[in-house]
Amino acid sequence: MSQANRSRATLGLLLLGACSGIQPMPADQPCREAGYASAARTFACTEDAELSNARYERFEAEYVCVPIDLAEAPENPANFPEDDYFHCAYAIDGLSCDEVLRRGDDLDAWLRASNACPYVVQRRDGAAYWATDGSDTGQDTGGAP
Amino acid sequence: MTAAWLLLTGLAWAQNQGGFIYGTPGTRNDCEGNAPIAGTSGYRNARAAITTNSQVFSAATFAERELFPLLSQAAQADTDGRFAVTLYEQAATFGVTDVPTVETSYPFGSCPGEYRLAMRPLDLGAGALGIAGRVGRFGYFYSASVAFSATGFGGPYTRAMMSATYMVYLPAAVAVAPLNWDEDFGVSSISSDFIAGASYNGALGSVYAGYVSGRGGYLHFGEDRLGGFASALADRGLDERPAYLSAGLKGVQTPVGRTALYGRKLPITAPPGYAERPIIDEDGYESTAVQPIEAEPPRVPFRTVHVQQHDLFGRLDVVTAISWSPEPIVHEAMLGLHSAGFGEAAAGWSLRAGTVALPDMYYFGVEGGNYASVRAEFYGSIDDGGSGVGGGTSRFEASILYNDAEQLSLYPYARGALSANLRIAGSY
Repeated sequence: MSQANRSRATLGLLLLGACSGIQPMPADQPCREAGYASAARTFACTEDAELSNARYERFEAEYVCVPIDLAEAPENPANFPEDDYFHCAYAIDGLSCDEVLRRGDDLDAWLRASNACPYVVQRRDGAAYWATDGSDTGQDTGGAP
Repeated sequence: MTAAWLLLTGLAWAQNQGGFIYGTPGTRNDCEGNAPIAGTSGYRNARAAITTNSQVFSAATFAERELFPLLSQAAQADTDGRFAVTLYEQAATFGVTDVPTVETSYPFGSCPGEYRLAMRPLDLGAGALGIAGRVGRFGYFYSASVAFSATGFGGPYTRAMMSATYMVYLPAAVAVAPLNWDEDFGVSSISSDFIAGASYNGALGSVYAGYVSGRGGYLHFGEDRLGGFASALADRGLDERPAYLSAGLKGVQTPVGRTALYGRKLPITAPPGYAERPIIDEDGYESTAVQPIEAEPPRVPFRTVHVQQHDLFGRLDVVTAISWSPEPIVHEAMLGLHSAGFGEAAAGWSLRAGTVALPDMYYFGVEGGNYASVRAEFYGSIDDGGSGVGGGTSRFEASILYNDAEQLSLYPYARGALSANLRIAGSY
């Protein structure tokens, strides 16, 4: 391959990488977003980047993602119904700093922010993390699997 | 030619209409209605990127960063006390973050099922124009800018063509920037502003006083010889730009070329959370909207030490940077080659390639690791005798950055982003 062709090929690969179009969503995206949201809220409320990364790593180690069925896209995302795949991340992202500090390192408590979390995240040891008496967040878990 | 143009327009129209026929099989190009999903890292990153883009390319920032220094350079070459400069800059960054989106065209039109929940790359664009001049000690200045963002549309070809179209029309948008748009739809946005005023050049430096559209009075002091500056938006008294501290030696001539050694402290802003908050719209009606929880999220420093050796054998550059906070890593390792006399000759080029290493940033939804990095720069200039009457200089610059440290300092969550920049300057 000539120098000019190699240059063109390199530029083409770069452009291809940066110019990819829309992509299907990974089936574990809503789950990982719940972990990212807890890391982001930890960072914003504690100013501790290391702690927020450590919490996400614990999330990956102690929980397992439930793959979503991509064909069942919500038809009205604006309302964010609690059985929506992304309500878990949305509810965690909306926690106030008081709520964040109260939850601290108790990741189960983070995931009780929304009734939707059990649809996308499960504990690796199989134990339930949702409360049965509506304590902590004031939400019950009627829809939890 | 006209017939060919009409034919192309007609075909494009026909193709576009085809995408809306319900029940027909489609492609990802038919997923035309989408909404970003709040609560996700891509949404938070996109909101931060929009803010950064509009701040970096605001008219006032552009004037201080590019226009006023260009005026100072022209002053040094001036021979008769009357001179002017013009400047146009255009920048685009493709794929600054991936935004989770849901298809909203009901009942899904022809959008294939696998793209109804999708990851869409966010593209940023900006254009800015500056004009300034002096007659004796008094002068004038004007700067206008447009910044916008849009989620990638369809497949790679469609996205590239749409982006090219935006950039071609951007100068027209900059020309009418004083109309002062500020529109925001999810993570698609457009904002424009301008600044205009007068200047006085005294013994200590230049004072610029003017008006920033939608914000009020503006005052800036520029010290022409040492490069010091101080400025304030008079109605706020604060500077909202992503500031960083940098100290050291950036260009010492040594026997092996030009050596730079400096440290930098760059603040990384924590992503704010988003929640529904009550708002009152322009007509006085109360409703709710997804708003940031923290108005001013905290910042933590990203500290780096930079060691650079330029012009080895007149052609080679070695650029390294080490980060020791938040964790010690070799942040940047680049090897570059440039044309002889790069920066001083009438025309030149420079190409650098290497790697950048980034720490885990799960709070931005991205993992750390090593990423390939490329930076290519080109310029050409015409100089026919300084900036006095009858003479002038013109300069054209273009650059392409891929995972470049400069991009990452603005958008630390960007992975695989490509930036293309264009700058045209003249002094007369």
